[in-house]
Amino acid sequence: MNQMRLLLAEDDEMLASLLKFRLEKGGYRVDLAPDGRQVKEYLKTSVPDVIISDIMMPYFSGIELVDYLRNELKSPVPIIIISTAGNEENVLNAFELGADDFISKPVSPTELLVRVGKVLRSKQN
Amino acid sequence: MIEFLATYQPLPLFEAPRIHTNLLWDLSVLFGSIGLVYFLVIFWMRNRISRRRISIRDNKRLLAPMISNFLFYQAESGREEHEEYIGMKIEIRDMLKDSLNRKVITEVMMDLKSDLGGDARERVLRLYLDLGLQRDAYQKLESWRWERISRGILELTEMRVEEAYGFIRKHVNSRRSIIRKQAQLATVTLKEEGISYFLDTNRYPISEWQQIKLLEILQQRSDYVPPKFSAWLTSENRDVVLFALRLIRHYRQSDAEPAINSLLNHRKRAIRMAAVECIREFQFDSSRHPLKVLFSRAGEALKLLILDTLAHIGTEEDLPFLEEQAQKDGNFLIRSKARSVMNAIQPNCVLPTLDIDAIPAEEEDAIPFDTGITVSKDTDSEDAAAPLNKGISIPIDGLEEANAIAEIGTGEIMPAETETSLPDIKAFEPAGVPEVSPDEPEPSTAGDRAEDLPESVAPPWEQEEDEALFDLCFMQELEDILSDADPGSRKQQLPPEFLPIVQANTQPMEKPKTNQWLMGLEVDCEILLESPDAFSEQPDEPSGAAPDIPALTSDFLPLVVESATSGEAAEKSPASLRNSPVLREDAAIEEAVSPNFELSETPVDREDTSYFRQNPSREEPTLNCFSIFAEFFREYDTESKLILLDEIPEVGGPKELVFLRSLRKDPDPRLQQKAERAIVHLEKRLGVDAASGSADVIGPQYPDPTRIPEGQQRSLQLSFTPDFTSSGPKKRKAKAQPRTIIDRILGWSQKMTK
Repeated sequence: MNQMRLLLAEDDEMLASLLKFRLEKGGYRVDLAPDGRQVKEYLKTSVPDVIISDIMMPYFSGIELVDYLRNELKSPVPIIIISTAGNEENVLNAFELGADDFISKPVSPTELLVRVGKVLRSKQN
Repeated sequence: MIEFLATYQPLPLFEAPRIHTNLLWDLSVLFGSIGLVYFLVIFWMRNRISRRRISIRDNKRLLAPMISNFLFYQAESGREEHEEYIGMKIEIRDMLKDSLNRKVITEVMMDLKSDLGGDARERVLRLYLDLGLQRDAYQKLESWRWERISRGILELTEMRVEEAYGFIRKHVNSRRSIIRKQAQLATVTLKEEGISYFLDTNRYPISEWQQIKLLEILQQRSDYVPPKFSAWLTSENRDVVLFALRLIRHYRQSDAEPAINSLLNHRKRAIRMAAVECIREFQFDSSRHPLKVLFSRAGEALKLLILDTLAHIGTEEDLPFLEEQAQKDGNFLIRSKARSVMNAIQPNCVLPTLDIDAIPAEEEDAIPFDTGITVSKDTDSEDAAAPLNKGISIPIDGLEEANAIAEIGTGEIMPAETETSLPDIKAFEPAGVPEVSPDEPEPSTAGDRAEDLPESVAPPWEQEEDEALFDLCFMQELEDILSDADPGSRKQQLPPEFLPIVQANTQPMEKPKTNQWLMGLEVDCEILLESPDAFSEQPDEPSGAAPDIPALTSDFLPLVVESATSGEAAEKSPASLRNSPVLREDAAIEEAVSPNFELSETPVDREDTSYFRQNPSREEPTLNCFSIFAEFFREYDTESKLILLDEIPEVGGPKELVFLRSLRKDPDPRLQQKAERAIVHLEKRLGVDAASGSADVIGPQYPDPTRIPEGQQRSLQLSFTPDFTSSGPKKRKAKAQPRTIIDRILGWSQKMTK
């Protein structure tokens, strides 16, 4: 079976590891990128099915990543944004730039799994 | 000589101390060794910290998948996964024997606890207890170092170790404030009864921040049943009492009415405020009297709070108290608040009085019942008995008292003839308020700036809005007339600022006399409030009354504009008046601005202009034209006049030529010379024969009525109604025109004024 590839951009190593474990357990193949620069490098070589990105990251923020993906690469890859609760302005900016979904910290891995599935279903439809 | 030089030994001024060389070597070795040790320690510490960090990172990387596996392990997983889980469990038990690993796992757990939500978070908390990491936290509580104790309390609190409650609560009254505060938060967090224990046993002050944090913790509790916080209103710790009051208010526990009333007299101001807030929240009826008692010795903030509370719980019985405060309190904020509270208790019992324009009685009579405030000449008259929107009737009988009050407020003496234009100020005072006597001015405090503000109705002559409106009416009419009288300058737009030029005389007339001959005109009189220097007239005066032209002043101009029968009026006016300089000038103004038409009959329909006919008296206009510069010359100093004389030839017309010629007789030779030069320039520009100075050339050019289009004829109808909504082509065109001579004159006058 062809596994869906997810790119998880998260600078918190422990949280990234835990989410990766949970998503892999959910049947996805997960690639990790600890900062925005590595995300850009990754996107030059491969295109994931879904990108899960934290807003606050070194080098490039999640919003800049959405902007890069939508306006420079013109890529329709679904993006799920992870941000701290109350960071409403950033979330709205991300949605304006083309983010597909948003999940707030503290993150529930189960909820993230559900949202990824929903986004993928929307993409396939 | 040579011997002398050879044997001479000069004495040195400074001599180096003789130190043994070995000592120097010893010191060098000592300090070198110290430096070396210092740098070695630095490198060792640095490497140790780096090694530790690397080790922790490696441990975290090693432990992360294990922790993830533990967190997301499901019993129904396959056998392979179950075996892996068992293996990891054995492995992690071995790792936990190392204190560093325990520390790493604890850090990881703390991080994950804050990053994860939902079920994963609960699993993290369970795993923390399963791994027995709380024992390290308990050991920290036994430490003598405050930071270790505090960290242990924080760890146990974050990980929700309820068993630690007993160990932590003994630190609630620790002498070290950080431990104490941490323990207080932990006590309230870990168990529901923690707040009761804390309030019972707390001996130290509770800071505002701490109170907020504690309240936040209580709010986060689900299904929380708060204790009766009134139990702590009797505490000897003031902060406990204050916090209890706030908790009572937050949880709306209204069973402590007597205790809260008692706390109104507490020595601590914050407690009094909190008690009043509780009363306002719960609206204790029994607190009205204690609040009023407290009011007299309260500060500004507490007074405002008490008044606000009375607005909620007050009744009509409290109105006298509030009236007293509204009148006698030295602080205008309190007075204002008291009035608003009175209105809250009994709506509309106090109406606005400050900065309210007085409405003249004539206009009140003219406008039937729209405003809700009417002026009745007699309280027993039908008008007074007529139902009004807001039911306020202002008898004129009390106007003398109103005048007296106004004099107190403004320091001016009101002319007797304006008595009827002022409403009774007492009618605006609160119902039941004792009359304000002129002999009893309001008490004032030095620091209260609002004390100086008069609370009576401002006298009409001080109301600038009326003047502005009057200006506007006048300028509209004057513009219409001038544009009709002089087709060449029809597009002129007169600025409202032009009015002061003709309104220089602001002395109130001793007794306003009416021009009966003007009263025959039908005019639209609206909103023109009476002022002492303006014309006062009864609109219903019969037109057939004997004409009596009083001494006209320049500020009378707007009504002169309406006149179409100046010749008739001139015949009936006394000769002495006609010869007075003021009247001569006004007559000139009248000549200049009056249209070349007069009414042949009383207009019935405004659209019908057939009743206009050419005024035969205007067929040969005279030289007595009024130049706008004349007013400037009457007001300004010589320098300004000279500046004006430079400008008149550029913008002037025939009227200015006449005016310049009149300046030839000016006593000032400089003005004479400059006027001569201006005359030459102006004549050259106008193409007038300088020698003749013919009057025929410079008279005002009146339009031929037979050639006036029907639309323009309508503009000859005189009206004082300000045309705010006019959308006719003429008005719009006038607004779009560039600035005209009047504008330029105005600009010069402003320059000179500066």
